[in-house]
Amino acid sequence: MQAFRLLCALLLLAFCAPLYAFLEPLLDDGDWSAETGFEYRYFDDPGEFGQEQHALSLRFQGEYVSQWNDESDSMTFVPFVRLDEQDENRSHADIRELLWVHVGDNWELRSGVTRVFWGRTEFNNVVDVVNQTDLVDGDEEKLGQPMVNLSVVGDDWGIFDFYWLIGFRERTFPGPDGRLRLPLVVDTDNAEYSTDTGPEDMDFAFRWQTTVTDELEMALSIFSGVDREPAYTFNFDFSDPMLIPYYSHIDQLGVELEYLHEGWAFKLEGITVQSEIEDYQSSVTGVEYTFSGLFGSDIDMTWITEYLWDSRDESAPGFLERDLGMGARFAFNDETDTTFLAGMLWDPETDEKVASFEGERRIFSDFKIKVLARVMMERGEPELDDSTLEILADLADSPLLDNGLVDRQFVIDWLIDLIQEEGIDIIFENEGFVPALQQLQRLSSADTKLSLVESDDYVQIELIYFY
Amino acid sequence: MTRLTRISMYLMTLLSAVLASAAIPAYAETPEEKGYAIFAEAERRNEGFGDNQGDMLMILKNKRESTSQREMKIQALEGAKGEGDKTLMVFLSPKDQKGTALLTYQHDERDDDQWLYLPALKRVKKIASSKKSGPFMGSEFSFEDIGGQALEEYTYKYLRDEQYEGQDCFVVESFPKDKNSGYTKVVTWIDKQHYRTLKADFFDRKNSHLKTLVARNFNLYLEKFWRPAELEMVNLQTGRSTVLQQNNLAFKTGLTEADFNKNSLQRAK
Repeated sequence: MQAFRLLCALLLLAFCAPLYAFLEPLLDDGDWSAETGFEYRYFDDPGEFGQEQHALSLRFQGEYVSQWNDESDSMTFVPFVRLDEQDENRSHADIRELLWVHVGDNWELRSGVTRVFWGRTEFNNVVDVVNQTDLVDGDEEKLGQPMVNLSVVGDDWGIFDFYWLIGFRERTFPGPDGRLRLPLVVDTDNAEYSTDTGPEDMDFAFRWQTTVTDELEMALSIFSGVDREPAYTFNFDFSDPMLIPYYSHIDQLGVELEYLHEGWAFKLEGITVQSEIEDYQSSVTGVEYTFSGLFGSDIDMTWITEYLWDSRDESAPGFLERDLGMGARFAFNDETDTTFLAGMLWDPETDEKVASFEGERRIFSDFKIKVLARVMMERGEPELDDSTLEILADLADSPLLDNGLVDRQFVIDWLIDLIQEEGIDIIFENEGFVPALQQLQRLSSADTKLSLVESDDYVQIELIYFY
Repeated sequence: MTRLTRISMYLMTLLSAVLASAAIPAYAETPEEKGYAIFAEAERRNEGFGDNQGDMLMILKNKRESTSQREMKIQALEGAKGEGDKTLMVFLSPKDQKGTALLTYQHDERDDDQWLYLPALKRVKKIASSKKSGPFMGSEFSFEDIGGQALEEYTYKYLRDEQYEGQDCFVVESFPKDKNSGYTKVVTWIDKQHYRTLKADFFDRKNSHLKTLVARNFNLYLEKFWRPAELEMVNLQTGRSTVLQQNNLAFKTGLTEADFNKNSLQRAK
């Protein structure tokens, strides 16, 4: 054992010495900076599944930047760690960035792990597919994606980006003790892939962004790879019912437009997608108007109105299939860079509403405070059936079975086995499997998506220190 | 013309120089023609700076003490004939703003193009051009102050000759053409020898005296271009003031067009 350890240490040294020599210019005169966030969340109600009302969380993010070759080469390293008091899935670490950038005359080669943003609109960015969402950390946070990205600047032609995405990262989901989760926990350890995809998938993306006129900017993008948004199947294990994320291949064509005139902004994001499951289109269309210097003050107020649409309608994943988003952003333009954003999403068909408030302000010179509050104002009541048979009949018409992810024959076989074991009465009873099946029914009910998070109104306060 | 980055322009463009020729012609001129000619000469003397870069410290003060600071790095590239200058400004502090960067393409005849990069979101946002009278980074400088003034965006009127701190100056009124400007007029003291702006009084929309700008500690670069090491803007109505200090300014550093696009905006450190 001793000898083994010694051997390991020697091997490590042997590899480390040349490695260190190679890395020395990177490590010599870089700059470190970092931030720590201390977060408190308070939920208005106890969790529907017994989760706590309070949660503390600690976040650390560092950044190391080193430049050499007269700044034509740079290395950036951004490690990230979060510790969460309640949710084991929310306690996680990630390499947000570990990127070498080489700059040529009119091109850049970016190799390593990084995050890329595509899009123009506010409430949702349908075109933004390069990185996976780090859902436990927030719906706008992203996991680092390994890639090689060649970016070519074509003077009057705009910028052309070619991405080779190396490997696929699965979405993070809250665990059983986490809040803001679905009625059934997502089994992140047993994600399934279609036959054309897998965690080692090599994906490709391309984006061309250009200025059409002084006031109009445009981008076109192509993505061919694993859909960042999974579909879900059910594990049919009633002692431990869970949703299984199911990843499949998509080919996506995206367009972004942004027209600015005086205080007005018109924005459009649209995608058309061919997936293994179905073909669909989705878009966000928005208008913004900014009042500068509101009532003679220094405050700028921007009104935002956006319409979010998805051709899959009810069967679209997420809440944003035919919703109207409205918001007002206040930028105080003061010494503390104070901003507020109050917004609401409204589904005119089901009348479901969710309102949110975000604010931030710098305090002293190295601290910042951020506040986020979210309230489900109006939510539909799901119609739940009381017996196994009724629920199964309902589920058979739902997207869950409809799109073929769960094999109908499998369900029929499962039902026959069940009847043979437990007797015919089991499918008319409202005990046993019914609670788990009802949660499935809730998940598949398109009119009442907000009911999934019905007890999850919350306030979140984060104090951030910048080193 | 608007905003943000022309901080550098204010330091770099406005205050120009050269011993060269071109005194104001002595024959009969209207005060309007003479005012225009003075500003045109100041602009002419700044031609040919090529590119420059430097560090900037912004100190915000109330009546008694300084309340906060911002540090920035600025790069500027002189526009080719018929094109405006390009500037890239990166914030180093406050720390929560580190890496935030602003790219500006100035245009003479129309609004500037500006893009802001927000590093936390990895997002480049195009900025609408309608808020020039608003404050820049919570300071007493507005976006249009930072932008400096393009010749054709104002009309001018020569007022008088006057000594300012021992230097012979022209005193010229300028009137912004843009209805979005926060000012009705600006009164500027320009020294006769080098055509540098030494002082300017800004009058708000109610035509009352709002702010005074003073430029100090001029240095000469490339034996041709005068730049102040310090600018101070005092708000007479609130008593607050902002000092801008320019450090490590260097000219002809070899910057090219490739240093002023959305990619360079995102990698600015």
